[in-house]
Amino acid sequence: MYIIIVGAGKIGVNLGKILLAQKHEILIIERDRNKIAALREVFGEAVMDGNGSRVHVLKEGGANRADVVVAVTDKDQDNMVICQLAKTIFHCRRTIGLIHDPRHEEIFSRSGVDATVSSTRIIDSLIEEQLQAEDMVIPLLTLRGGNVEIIEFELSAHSPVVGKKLKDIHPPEGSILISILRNDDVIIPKGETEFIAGDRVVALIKKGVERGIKEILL
Amino acid sequence: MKIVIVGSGRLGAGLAMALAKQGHQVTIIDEIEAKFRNIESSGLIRKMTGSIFSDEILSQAFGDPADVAIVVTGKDNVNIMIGQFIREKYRVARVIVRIFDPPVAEVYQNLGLETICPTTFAMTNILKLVG
Repeated sequence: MYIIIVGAGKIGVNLGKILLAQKHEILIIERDRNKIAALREVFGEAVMDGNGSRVHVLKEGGANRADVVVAVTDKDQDNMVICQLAKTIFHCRRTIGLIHDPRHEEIFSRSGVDATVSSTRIIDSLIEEQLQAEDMVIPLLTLRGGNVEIIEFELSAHSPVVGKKLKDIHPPEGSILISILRNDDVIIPKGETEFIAGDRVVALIKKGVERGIKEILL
Repeated sequence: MKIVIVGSGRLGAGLAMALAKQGHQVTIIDEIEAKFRNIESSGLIRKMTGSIFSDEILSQAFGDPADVAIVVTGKDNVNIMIGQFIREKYRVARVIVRIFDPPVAEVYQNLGLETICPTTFAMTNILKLVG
């Protein structure tokens, strides 16, 4: 497919790389001249300097033969107009627009843009997904430039340590279990403390120990 | 008529004063309060400061249905987005939008906005003068 990406921010650039790897023909349109040289190093000829919400720029970029136009600039209004122009003038089959401000979702949904990507919503759903994952580990605090971390994880009923006492388990070297959050209580674990399902365990760990601690506790 | 103007630049401010003088009920919105300095004969014109993308400001301005909305900020794409939003959400019958880029103005004219393109306007007139 021929896919035009307008806006070479992080999303545009990474999308471009992925689509290239999938053997699609792409073009990246970017209005900031200072970015063009660096973009050419990655994408070669598939980079065009210009304002993608101008009709002549889209035309020069070959919008009339594009299968998809993806508008991922940093401005919602530009993304909307790019998609509408692609659709109306160039009869592009599919247009996808990025929305930064969730309040603009409503107008996008009525604008004829085929699909929208809402960055705020993605972050929301990622967080939600994280919160629902059963064996997840939430990093609470990173100390000393990332070398030490305080993490929290929940013990499921399947955890191998449920029913065992602290003195019987062996957290990996470089980790220490600081506390257990059980219902509304905070327990400072001692040798005799027994783990039960649903416990939220808070641990201080050195970098790289996360995997080891997951293996033992989850 | 009840008229809401979005953007208090030279055009917006000038229109606000002219329309108020004709006896219309005028509200003007801008993000920057200092822009209202352009407006004389103030008492008759309701001025609102705030983000033109904010629902709060727009629903205050359009809560009581307006007959005409005039969208004349300095940016084409902002005008287009706000214009469509106002038309859809607040059911304003006439939405007039300034768009500098002629082909874009034509597109949105066909999509149901009343567009004014100063570039085309000036060009036509200059051509006439050249004769």
